[in-house]
Formats: sequence, C-alpha cells, structure tokens
Amino acid sequence: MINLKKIEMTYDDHGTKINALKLKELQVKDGEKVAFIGSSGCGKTTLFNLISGMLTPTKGNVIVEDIDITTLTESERDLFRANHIGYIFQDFNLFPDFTVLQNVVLPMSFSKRYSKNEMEKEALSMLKRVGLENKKDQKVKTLSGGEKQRVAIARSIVNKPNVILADEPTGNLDYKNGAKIMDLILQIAKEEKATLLVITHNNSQLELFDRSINIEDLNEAIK
Amino acid sequence: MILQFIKTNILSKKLKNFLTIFAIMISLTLIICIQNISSQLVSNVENQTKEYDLIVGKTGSGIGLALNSIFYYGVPEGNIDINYLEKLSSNKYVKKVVPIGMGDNYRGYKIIGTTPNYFSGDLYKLADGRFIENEQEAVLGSTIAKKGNMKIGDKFKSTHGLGGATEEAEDEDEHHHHDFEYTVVGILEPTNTPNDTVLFTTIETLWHAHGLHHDEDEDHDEHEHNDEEHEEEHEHEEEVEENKVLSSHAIGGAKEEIEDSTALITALLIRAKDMSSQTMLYNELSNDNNVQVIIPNQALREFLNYIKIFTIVITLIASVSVIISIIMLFITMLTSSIEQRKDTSILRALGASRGTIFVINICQMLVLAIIGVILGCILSHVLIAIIGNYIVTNYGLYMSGLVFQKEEVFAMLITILLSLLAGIIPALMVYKTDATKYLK
Ligand SMILES: Nc1ncnc2c1ncn2[C@@H]1O[C@H](COP(=O)(O)OP(=O)(O)OP(=O)(O)O)[C@@H](O)[C@H]1O
Ligand SMILES: [Mg+2]
Repeated sequence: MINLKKIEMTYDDHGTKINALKLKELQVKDGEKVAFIGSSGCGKTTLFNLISGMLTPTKGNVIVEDIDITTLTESERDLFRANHIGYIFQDFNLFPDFTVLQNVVLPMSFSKRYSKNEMEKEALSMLKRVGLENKKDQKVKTLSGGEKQRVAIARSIVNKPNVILADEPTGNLDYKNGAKIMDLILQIAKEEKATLLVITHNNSQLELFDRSINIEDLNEAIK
Repeated sequence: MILQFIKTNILSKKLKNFLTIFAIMISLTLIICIQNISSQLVSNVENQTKEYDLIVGKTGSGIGLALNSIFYYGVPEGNIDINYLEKLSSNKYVKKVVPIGMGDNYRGYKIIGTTPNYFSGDLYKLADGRFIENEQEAVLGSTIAKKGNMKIGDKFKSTHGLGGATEEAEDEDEHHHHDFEYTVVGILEPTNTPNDTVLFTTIETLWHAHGLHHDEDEDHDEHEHNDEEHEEEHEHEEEVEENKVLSSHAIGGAKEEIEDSTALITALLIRAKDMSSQTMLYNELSNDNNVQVIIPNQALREFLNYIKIFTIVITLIASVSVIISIIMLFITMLTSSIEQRKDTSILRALGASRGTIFVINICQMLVLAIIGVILGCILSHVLIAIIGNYIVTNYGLYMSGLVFQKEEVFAMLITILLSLLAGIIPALMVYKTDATKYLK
C-alpha cells in the first residue's frame, strides 16, 4: 500500500522556489498496476522520487509498506529504498563498463539481504527470467537497447522489492521492443506480486494496467 | 561487491588513472632517489672518514688524496718517502699510523698493501678466516670472494697496475703477472663500502712483488720495472731515478734495507692522540713541502657540501613536482567527480547511502595513490641500484638499491596523505550531489 497525504514538493533552485507538486491524496493498493500520464514537467518523476525516498516532501507524509518514510533519516531511507523499491529508467542507468552480471549483483551490496555466496546465484536466476543468462559476462555497453532494459529489469527485482517504479521504461526503445519490454515488466511484476507504477507517454499501453492516473489533473501546483 | 565496483571503475578509466598513478610515481621516485642517494653518499663518506684524523700523501689534490686513500678511488699522485712512516710511528702525538700502498690488482680489483693494525677498530669484520699477518697473505673484500667464488686457502697471482673494473675483461696476457702467489687467509663481511671490492695484503708483499727488497741483494742496481707497463706511475718513476734514498723500515720487526724508499707508500693514515695532537701534527706536517697533509673530514666537506646543495635543489624541484602532480590529481578527481555524478545518482537510486559513496570515492583515490607510491618506491630503488652501480665502478663510493630509509616511508605516507586530501574535496562534492538531478 502506497499512501500519499497532503503532499507538497517545492524545489529550491539557488533561492528560487519551484512549486513542482501538490497532491491532496494518492493511494495505490498492493499488487496494483498503475500507469501515470501527464504532460512534460507536470511532476511525474518528482512523485516517483517522493515514493522512493530519494526526495522528501516539503509538506505531508509518504507511507510505503506501512512505513512513513518522511520520518526516517536519510540513511534509513537509503536502506529502505534498497530493500523495497526497484527502479527502472528510460536511460537504463546501467554501468556500461561492468558486465551484465556485475550490474545485477550491484544493488545486493546495499540491501544487506544476501550473503556473498547467494548474490551471484540469485542474480543469475534473475537473468534467466529476462532471458539474458547467456550474456552474463558480456559488458553492458555491448548490448542493444532492449537487452539493456532487460538487464535493468533484472537488476530492479534482485532485492525482492514490494514496489517497482518504471520512469518511461520504453521511451528509448522502438515500438516493437518497447512493447516486449512493457510485457516483460508487467509479467515480472505479477510474478513478484509487486506493486507496479509506470510513467508512460504511450497511450496504447494504458489498457495493460489496472488503471491510469493523469498527474496533470491531480497536481494542484500547476493549476 | 563494493570492492569489485572500485576495481572495475578504476580499470574502466585506464588512461586517466594511469596518468594519475604515473604522476604520483614519478614525483615520489625523484624524491626517494635523491634523498636516498645523497644520504648513502654522506653516510658512506662520514663512516669511512671517522677512523682517521689525518692523511699524509704526496703533494697534490686534497680531495684526490682523500678519495684515493679512503675510497681507493683513482690513481694516487705518487708515493711518499718511507721515512715518514718511521718518523710518525714514534711521534708523540700519534696514536696509530697505517701505511697504504697500491700498484697491483687481481682481476681488476685493487690490492691494498697495509699493515695488520689497519684492521683494528670496528670498521672491519671477518666473515671467515683471519686478518693478514705475514707476507703473501690476502684478505678479500666480500664482493671479490663472492664473485670469484674464493675461499680460505685459495691461491692467486696478482697483476701489475691499479686495475679498475674496466681492465677485468682485457686480455690478461698483456699484463705483467707477478710470479709468486697470494694465499687467501680471510674474507671480510659485506660492508656496503669500497672495502668490499679490494684485497688487502701486507705492504711488504707489494714491495716484494715489485722486487724492491727481500732479495738480500743490496746491489740490485736497477729495479726491473718495465716502464711501458707502469703507466700510472710513470711520472713518478722518473723522479725515483734521481731520488734514491737508502732507508730502513720497521715493519714486521725486520729492519731491511730498501733502495727505492719512495716506492709504494701512497698514503699514511693517522689517528692522533687527541684534538690538540691533531692540530700539532697538522701544523708540523703542513710545513713539509714534500708531502701534503689533509684532514679527511675537511677535505671531503667540500665534496659533501656539493652533495648537500645538490640534494636541496633536487628535493625542491621534486617537491614542486609532487605538488603539481597532486594538483593534477585534484583536477582529475574533480572532473571525474563531475562525470561520476551520474554514476553516483544511479548508486543512490539503487539504495547506496551518501557515506558508502564517499567511501567508494576515497578508496578509489587511495588505491591509485598506493599503486603510485608502490611503483615509485620500486622504480626509485631500481634507479638507485643502477646509479649505484655506476658510482661504484666510477667513483669507488658504494651504493646499494636495497638500502631503505625511514625518510622514504615518511615521503610515501605524505604522498598518500596529500593524495587523499586532494581526493576529499571532489569526494565531498560527490557526497553532496542531488541524485535526482542526474537520473533520467
Ligand atoms: N532538482 C530540481 N530542481 C529544481 N526544479 C526541479 C527539479 N526537478 C524537477 N524540477 C521541476 O519540477 C517540475 C516537475 O518536474 P518532473 O521532473 O517531476 O516532471 P515530469 O513530469 O517527470 O516531466 P517529464 O515528463 O519531462 O519527465 C518541473 O517544472 C521541473 O523543472
Ligand atoms: Mg520525468
């Protein structure tokens, strides 16, 4: 369960205040698959960063998995993020000089969930699920865009997160690949019984989700 | 995995990291080399000169006499009258006087003729056998024994001339071999001094080798030195012809007549009874125009001063180079910290704390600094060994690549510390990065 109450997010950009987001209420139930839409700059990424604890709201509370993360210290939030949130980005945000396997193993050192021996085994089984076990020792920079995003999907679930946040995951892929990746994300989220939040500009994908939310309509800061 | 991350991260930016390591390595090498070499030179000189207060030799260059009689370096100016040995032995200011003669070599290593009391004092320690007592006995420097695989009881023949390492390879037939044999009675412990590369025998043995006495044949008219093979002493040889003095000497108990009294005492090493004796002796001998007297410390002070000034200059240059390379490092780290903002943001999104990221950055810096320092240490000692080898063969001053000094460890630690300091500001910048700005 994700629960945001009376959220306000104001950026301070060298003294100038930017009101990016103001929400009365937003709730997402466990296991729900929600698509977020809205024009550029309407605050979608800001919302995700609030849910993951990368940002703390200027006002209001963010409750994820019954934890009010606004009450946590920064390092507690980091640990929370490592254990509960899986991130997938438009730009993949992998380490190109690292191998596929190394990229997937990396977040495990922050979650403190696995012992050293388990890490590689677990990462390999994740790679199997996205169909990349045969490329485990290849450097990420040698992969295609679709393959990169599959590595990122594998990486997002190694720590068994309850929430998967995907910020325009198909934005850098062609139509065919994008569709495949979106299917994979939905399938993996289902298998993991994770709550899935996806930001997308592709309206044809909306029917794949339980519901879609237009942040532009919700965000009182831009009205 | 974090270590793995650091490793892969360093390896993925090979060129930049190589330059950083290279800069640290070169500046440290410079500092270590100059400090190490100069302190080895200085301690070498100081160690070797502390045994004697005065050196008497043929008039000429003071430094030349000091280098020749203390480091066995170069060709002596000539020989002095044997009367001086006798006169000084009975001088009330003198505690100990030791003659030194040279003129022969064994495979290019100088044979030093002296008296058994040369070895009193703590400069000489035996690895095996005993010190010389009788004629035709030899004590070997450790290097010679090792290279020639020689042991106590071995016999060898000497060659005329002062040798020098370069002669070693020459055709031995061209040299005049003395036809009697030396017996090895002792081998010195390695000392890292010029003593490692000379042989010692009694000074009478040298005289004997040169047919100067012991023949009981007092009418021995011309001594049969072949002038052509006597190049080093050629100049002095002419003098000898006009300058024959009959004298006696009191070494080994036997008083023997020698016709060529000026042969083969190249220097007298003197230990005075005390400070004032030293002054008295010095004044006394300074008035004698036939010889020069030097205070080894003083004679070499000029030499040492050159070394010291040289050291200071090079150390300054090296320090500037260290500072420049640290600044370079700082800039490298700064630019890479900007590049690293994105990497940092990704790590943060994956759940890494700011602390972890700070540690990763500092560790990367530390790894580069330590690699640079270790390489610098290795490179500098290889260089010292090479330079040392050159100095040994050319100047007789001993230098080893295996001498480590605490100043070096200090320089290494300082370098690592400075690198860390240079790394801290960029690492702090990364630490403060707002991760959400760089993720898309
Ligand atoms: N770190 C920041 N500092 C200052 N202003 C910011 C920052 N991040 C976002 N903003 C501002 O907040 C507003 C919302 O930005 P956000 O990135 O959430 O939009 P978005 O809906 O994700 O847009 P897009 O679809 O283009 O990704 C924008 O006006 C943006 O300029
Ligand atoms: Mg966005």
